[in-house]
Amino acid sequence: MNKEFWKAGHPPTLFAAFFYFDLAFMVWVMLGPLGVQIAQDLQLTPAQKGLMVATPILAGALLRIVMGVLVDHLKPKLAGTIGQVIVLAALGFAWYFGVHSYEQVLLLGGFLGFAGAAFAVALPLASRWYPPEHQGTALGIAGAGNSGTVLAALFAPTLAMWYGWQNVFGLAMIPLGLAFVVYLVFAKDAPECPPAKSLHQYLAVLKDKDAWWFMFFYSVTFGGFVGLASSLTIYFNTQYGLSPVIAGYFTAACVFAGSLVRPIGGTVADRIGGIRTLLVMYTLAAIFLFIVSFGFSQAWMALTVFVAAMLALGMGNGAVFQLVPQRFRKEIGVMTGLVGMAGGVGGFYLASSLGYAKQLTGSYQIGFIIFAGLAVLALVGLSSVKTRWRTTWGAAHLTAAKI
Amino acid sequence: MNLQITVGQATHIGSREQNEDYAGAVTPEPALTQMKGALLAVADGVGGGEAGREAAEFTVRGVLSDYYATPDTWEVPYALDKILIAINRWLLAQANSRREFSGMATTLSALILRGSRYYTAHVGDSRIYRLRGEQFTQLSTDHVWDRPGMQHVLKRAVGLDDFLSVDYADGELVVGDVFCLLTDGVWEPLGEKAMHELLHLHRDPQRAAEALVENAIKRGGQDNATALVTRVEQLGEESLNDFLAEGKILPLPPRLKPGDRIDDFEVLECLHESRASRLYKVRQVETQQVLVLKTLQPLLAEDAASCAGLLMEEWLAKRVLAHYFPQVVPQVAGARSALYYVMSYHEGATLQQRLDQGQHFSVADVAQIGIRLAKGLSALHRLHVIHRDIKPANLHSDIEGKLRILDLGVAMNPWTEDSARGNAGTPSFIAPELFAGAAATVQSDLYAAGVTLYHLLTRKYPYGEIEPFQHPRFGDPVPPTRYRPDIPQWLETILLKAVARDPQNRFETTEEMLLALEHGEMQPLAALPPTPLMARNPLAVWQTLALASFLLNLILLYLLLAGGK
Repeated sequence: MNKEFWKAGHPPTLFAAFFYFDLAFMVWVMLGPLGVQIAQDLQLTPAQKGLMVATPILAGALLRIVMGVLVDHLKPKLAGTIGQVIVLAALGFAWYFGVHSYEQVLLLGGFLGFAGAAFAVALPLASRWYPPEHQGTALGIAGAGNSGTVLAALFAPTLAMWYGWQNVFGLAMIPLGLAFVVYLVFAKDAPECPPAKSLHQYLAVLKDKDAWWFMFFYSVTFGGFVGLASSLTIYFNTQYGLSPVIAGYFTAACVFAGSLVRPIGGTVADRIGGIRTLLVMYTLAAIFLFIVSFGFSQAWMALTVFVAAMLALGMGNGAVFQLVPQRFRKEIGVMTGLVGMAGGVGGFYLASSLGYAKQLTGSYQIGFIIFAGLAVLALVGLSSVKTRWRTTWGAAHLTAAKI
Repeated sequence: MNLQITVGQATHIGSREQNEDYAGAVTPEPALTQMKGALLAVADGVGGGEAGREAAEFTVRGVLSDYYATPDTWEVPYALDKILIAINRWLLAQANSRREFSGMATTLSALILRGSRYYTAHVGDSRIYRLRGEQFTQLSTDHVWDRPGMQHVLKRAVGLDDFLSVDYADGELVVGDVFCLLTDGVWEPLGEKAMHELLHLHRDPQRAAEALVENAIKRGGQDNATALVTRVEQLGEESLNDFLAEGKILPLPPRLKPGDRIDDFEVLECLHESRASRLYKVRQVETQQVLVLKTLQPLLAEDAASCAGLLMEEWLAKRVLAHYFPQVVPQVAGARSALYYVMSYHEGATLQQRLDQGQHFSVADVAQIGIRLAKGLSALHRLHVIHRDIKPANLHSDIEGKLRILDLGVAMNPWTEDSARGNAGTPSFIAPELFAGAAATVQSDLYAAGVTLYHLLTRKYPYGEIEPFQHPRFGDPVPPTRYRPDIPQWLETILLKAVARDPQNRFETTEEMLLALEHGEMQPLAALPPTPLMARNPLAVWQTLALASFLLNLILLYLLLAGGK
């Protein structure tokens, strides 16, 4: 990050993109930390709780593709404006009229998915300003907006305690509105933009078996990360009887650990190899998830193991995205969309399955064990393709974009 | 579009007893002009009696004929240098063996026009000029002693001494460029201004050459005067384009199944399939010969670079005529309906397949494989081709045990050099310097050969297995005896030398490695000492030292404060 970098692109856009992305991610997962209070008021069953926190994740994953198409056809800034207006309107509506039933929460979750899709807007908005040699740094800065998930876990439960959870939707509009103004003033579309991606391109890349593998691998690492980020507040509350605020802090610690090590995962993969890194991370994640499924007597013990699991998953995210841009050099735009979507689907699965496990068996154990099983499956899958990948992929080329 | 030039030449004996100058030009048929270019050369012999003329004529004739016999894969300066060194040696041998020839030597100025570039080779005090628009430029430097009274004594010339050093240069051509190659009998009496005017006066190269010589004599030139003038009428396109154009027209064949027919070939089975390519075992219906057909994956139909790559590979493979490689079967032009090429088939298996089947390679096996591999590589390197993907999967041993090197898919040659393809190859076999961005060299091929032999013996890699897109850190290689104690010392030394981290410590040429393998135990090499950490990673050493010193200071500070209480 030198002088040259700041001169190369358009720093105001980069900042606006980061700010927008960060707050969008904050609202995207806010139903998770608020889940305890919402569930109390609406009398939700565990399965309903699971589905409630899982809905924004799934909506975000699917809308990411929609927003990607919008970005291609309307330019990033306009697409981002549309996305933000929708989220602000949905929050305003929820705050003004209130959320009174399970169905309404799910509907709100669906609209919050537009915030999760900010990913597909903020990254191209910022990175298109930068020449290839600086794209990695630009994407890194804009992508640091992932940390927004921590903000939600830190503040939402406290605010809900003080002002009631319905009002948190209104309060969230303040920073979000601020980000919107900053975005409108400072963000600017890059002069050149790549040609729009066609449906044909999405289908073409899906013919490559490796694309499916990556989607599976990311659905485990990112799915685990975002699924836990959304479910842990409720989990700590139900399992260990922690107050929503403390449960929020515990969740924040886990999420913080997971998002912080993502770039470290990328660096490690660069040094010792992405496949090798992923093998280690899947093994660790599976072990920790398996251990945690048995429950502990003390909440802090569970926290330690969750942090360890999140560290493994977070580094796994970084490792997957060390490989994807280099393996799919030409189809990178399309692949980022597809792999990101798969990650969201994985998160949806984990969050909702935890709820169903609690509902059906009375404990979360089976949900965690199945997800640990998925990590083992990823491990087996990776072992089966690693020889082919290692011998037929060619060497490290010039460093490409990292997300 | 082909390069078109007109050439004119003239010579005059001056007031000497004989003409010791010699000039010649070759403008071959279009196909050869495109491949090798047109060649012009002027020489001015020195030495008593017949010797000067003999040297000049022999040199020019030698260059003109031998240049067109050099392999197509050699770049121009490399080819000229090889020829000139041989001619130099021959002249010296003649001068030493026969008294009347002693002291024979010659200047040489040669010009090659090819495609849209020119190349010059120059030694001595003849000159090469270029007239481009109004600019009249001297392209050569005189190799004479810059001292009064010695301006005619040559510092460098063909036949002067054992070590011949020739100046090479190259540049872009422009339509209308006029080049002239002149001996000192022309340029000295005339001077640049007069030459410039004369070239402007006469557009026709033949007239221009005659005018240059006539005027040089008129102005009192005593020496032999020779002028060779050429004018560029039309530029050629980048030379391989015509060849590659075929790839844009031909479609890729679809996925073929056994029994399918394509042109004259019946598919027997699919031999190999990778991300980019497919290899089929086919039978030529007409001759009943079993062959291998190589083509690309149908998915790559729109990838122009890959299609061009396959044609390049065929072009290159056709030029590698040695029994260490499968041979390309030539095909009648226009006979193919799709993009593929055909080569000879050999019963057997690749070394990787043998490894996978669990075959055990003894030290003797590996030494034999190494010798044969080095011979094949040396044939390739002599053609100026770097293979870039030597690994067990690309080495095929047939049922008679003969080793062949497969897959020139990423091979690099001055012709096919293409920065967009980056560093191709298989990560575990790629030399450390290539990870840092250096270009592939003979040493990097030898590194891959070393890793291959190492892997055959131990099934391990000297620096561990390296993954795609990884940027590994290279320490010292693990000695193969750690995995397999029965490897003799001499072989271990050869392997470690081949896979040395620093290319400077590796074998310099393939032949050196070949000799080391052939001599084996009789003349073992000296082992390389392990690199100290200081040389490997000085930063880490200093960082560690600084950290240790900082910690020590902290402890001392603590002790000082604690002691003060």
